[in-house]
Amino acid sequence: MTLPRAYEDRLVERAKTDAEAFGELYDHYFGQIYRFVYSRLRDQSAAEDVTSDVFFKALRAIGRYRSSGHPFSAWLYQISVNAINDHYRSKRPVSSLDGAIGVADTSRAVVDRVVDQVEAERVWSAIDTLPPQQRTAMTLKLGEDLKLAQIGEIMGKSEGAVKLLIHRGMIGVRQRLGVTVTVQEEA
Amino acid sequence: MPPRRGRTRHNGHGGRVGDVPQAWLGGWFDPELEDLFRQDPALQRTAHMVRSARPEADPDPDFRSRLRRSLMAEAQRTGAARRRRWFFGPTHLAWGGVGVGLAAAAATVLALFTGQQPDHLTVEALSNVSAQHSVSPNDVITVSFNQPMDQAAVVAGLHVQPATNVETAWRGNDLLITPVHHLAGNTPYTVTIDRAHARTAGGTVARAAIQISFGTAPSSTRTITPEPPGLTIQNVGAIAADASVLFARDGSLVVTSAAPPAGTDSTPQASAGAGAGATPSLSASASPGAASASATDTVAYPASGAAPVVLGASASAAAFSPEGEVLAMAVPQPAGGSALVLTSATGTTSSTLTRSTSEITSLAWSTNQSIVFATSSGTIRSVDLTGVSRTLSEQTSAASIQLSPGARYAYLAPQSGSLGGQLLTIGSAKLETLAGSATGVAFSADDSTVAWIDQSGPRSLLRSESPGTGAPVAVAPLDLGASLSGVALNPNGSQVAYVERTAGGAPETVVAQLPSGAAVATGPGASALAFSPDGRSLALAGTGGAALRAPIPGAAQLIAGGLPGAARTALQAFVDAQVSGDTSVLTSLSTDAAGAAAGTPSGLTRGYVVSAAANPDGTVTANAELIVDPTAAHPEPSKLDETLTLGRGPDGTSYLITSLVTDGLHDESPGPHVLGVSTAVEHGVVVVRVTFDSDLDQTTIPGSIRVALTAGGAIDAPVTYNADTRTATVRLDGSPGGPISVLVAQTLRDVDGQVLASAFTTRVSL
Repeated sequence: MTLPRAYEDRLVERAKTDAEAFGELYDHYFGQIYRFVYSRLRDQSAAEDVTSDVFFKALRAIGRYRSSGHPFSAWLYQISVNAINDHYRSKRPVSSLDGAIGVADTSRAVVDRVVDQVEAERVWSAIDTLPPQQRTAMTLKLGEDLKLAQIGEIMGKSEGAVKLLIHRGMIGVRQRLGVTVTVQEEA
Repeated sequence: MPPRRGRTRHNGHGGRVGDVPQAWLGGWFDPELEDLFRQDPALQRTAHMVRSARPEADPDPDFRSRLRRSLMAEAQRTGAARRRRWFFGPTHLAWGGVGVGLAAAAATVLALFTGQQPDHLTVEALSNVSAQHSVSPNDVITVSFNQPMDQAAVVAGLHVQPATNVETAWRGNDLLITPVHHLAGNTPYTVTIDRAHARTAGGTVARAAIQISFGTAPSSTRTITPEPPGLTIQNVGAIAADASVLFARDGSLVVTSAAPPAGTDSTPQASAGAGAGATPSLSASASPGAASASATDTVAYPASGAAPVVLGASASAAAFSPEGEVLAMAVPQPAGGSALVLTSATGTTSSTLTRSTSEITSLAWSTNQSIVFATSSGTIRSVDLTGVSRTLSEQTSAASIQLSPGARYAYLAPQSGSLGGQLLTIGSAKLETLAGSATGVAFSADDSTVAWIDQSGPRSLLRSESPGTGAPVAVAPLDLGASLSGVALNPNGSQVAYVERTAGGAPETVVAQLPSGAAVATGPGASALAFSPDGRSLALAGTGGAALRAPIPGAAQLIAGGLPGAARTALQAFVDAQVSGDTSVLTSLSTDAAGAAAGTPSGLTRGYVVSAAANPDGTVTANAELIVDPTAAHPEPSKLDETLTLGRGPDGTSYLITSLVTDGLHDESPGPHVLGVSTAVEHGVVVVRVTFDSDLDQTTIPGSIRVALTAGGAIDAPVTYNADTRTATVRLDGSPGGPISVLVAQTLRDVDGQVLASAFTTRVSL
């Protein structure tokens, strides 16, 4: 269920002073935010911790929220990105580059291998090893299906910069999965 | 987590994933990525692989619910101040023209309907009270829909919990719900419109019931109780402007300045010095130091109605000795300073005890042998009846000093234009700021309670506390918004009198119970007020130059073994602190062994004292209820019952919570609940009142509410019911002959047929 934009705007305004309205926003966006956080952390306990952090931060800051023409979710994702980064800063990533590429098997088609849960884990572990901004852009695009413009709003970057991050990220994943690709590196 | 392949899901931004779902590599297609990797099929395939392998994220439903509850508790705890600002803000007046005039207070209630017309896909219902915790009990509940509804169906599906008789009306798409007998104060409410009945005029039925949760503010007594009776005023004689009034032990009313009554003798002459002894001795010898004959005198108007008696010269302060035999008066001297003059209660003998070069502005008897006085220079001194004097404290920064009747405390008024005077404990020199106070604090005769007017906010507030505890309770004045003055406390701090003046209205004297603020009586305005030593009469310095007296209708007798005002105040302050989470106050009002802070859950919305009873050993046992208001996520109120024991504090006057036993937070059961039990002795009759949160089925009251001797043995007494206040009253004909208990059985039902939530019994004090 998608909230009509005008309704969402009113709801957000009400949520600045009305717990029930904030609860409604929570009900609507919890799933998205949790999925995004989980996509980045792939650990249920950590995802719960960070998701809690995101919504508490949102609750405390919503009084200062000003609509910038983008969906409210963009703001929540911004908070989520920061919270995830904070999480990583306080705790080293559990996945390593070696772990991500250690079992690469190029004898099978990569697409076929993703039917395997272990392979799915391995693919997203490769994303974990990307530089943070590439990681975020990749997750928002491929994990959350957001528009490039929305990702740019969340990350404070232009659409072109987001494209660059995703392009580089995809190359990095490809390399980490043991598939050699030849591309023209961006400046 | 299992991998996901080709799964589409809503992206939350206006459509399905990718906006243009196409069959591509298993069902997922993102035109932006397709464009980005148009030149590199290998990266396209990688993108698809990553997208297909994205982790499944199925959050734990329990976690989702827990987090929501935590967020709601946090929002409600921190949102009050923001909500107040928003309440008056213009932002929400714009929406749809719905609830005009009420929309400023509107919070959200939302019901989603399935409809055919795009404009009516979602039906919004907003209420002026939703999610608020201090709704006036007098408010009309408005539910504003954004489209026409099936009015009959909506009304048929309307329920209010606690059960409340309501009248309904429609104004356009607004449903107006008016409680027949007002809402109960300090109570959580849930208004529900059943799902099946929540349907539009076009017949579309809601996907879920409409539920509005809110709570009411503590009762404004004028709106909840019948109009308090008027004081029966007796004009006893003249009084000068700015004079004060006090009662003699025999009931005579003494005014410190009045024109000498015609036909009376002039001021008696006071002797120099007073003898020592168990009681002050006075002589009738002349004293050149006494005030010269003046235009005004201190005059006693006998309770018998006999001719007034001149007790001495006009006094700047006066107080009777604890035994009531001797009146100490501070008599201003022509050359400056004051003479401290003692006179017999009959005015027949008089002597000067001591003199002060600074004017004496306040005096009090610390014992029957010792007087404490304060001067305009900021000195607090004591003098015993042999004339031996010593300085107790120097408070030169105070604008003025007011002593408590027992001389344990002194109020140090701030300089003119400032607020926040300080309460000095004379024995320990401890200082405590009385928030927002200026002049005119009041003490009970037993020094157990202090009351003052907090002028720091936009509205005057009346506050009271056990001195030195730093835990005041706010007392709701009869009219919120009125300016207050002339505060007086009865001898044990269980009642307060004050003068209120509303904008454009005449001043009015109000006698009210503490700490509830429930009005006992009202009368004409006055410049000064004083209770009689037995608490049954009030003296007023009338604004028209007349000294007035009035019996207080329904005033409780000050019975030995009754519940002290200090205990009531401490109880209320403690429960208030539990609700606000003020651990420092919880700590100051309780002993370490009580574990008050640890035993109090966080996130409480409201609390109240249900009953309290004094025990033979001097302790007090009380029952209180703490409540978390319902929310959309948790539609039932949560409550916690606690039993508190109070004992005397180290100072011997205040009370501390010495033990606290709770049953833990749990959902409140449906059905009526007892909000409070109170007792009074009115015209010699013991009256027990039991107040409920619900409108009751009056046919079930007889036999359901009983009073019995605590030791055993039913008391046959009639029960009456006031539907307007939801109060059952039991009048005991004659003394019960021992401690009594109140019992309410589960045969009692509300107007919706629900039985009493749980059987209720409590012991009460007179």
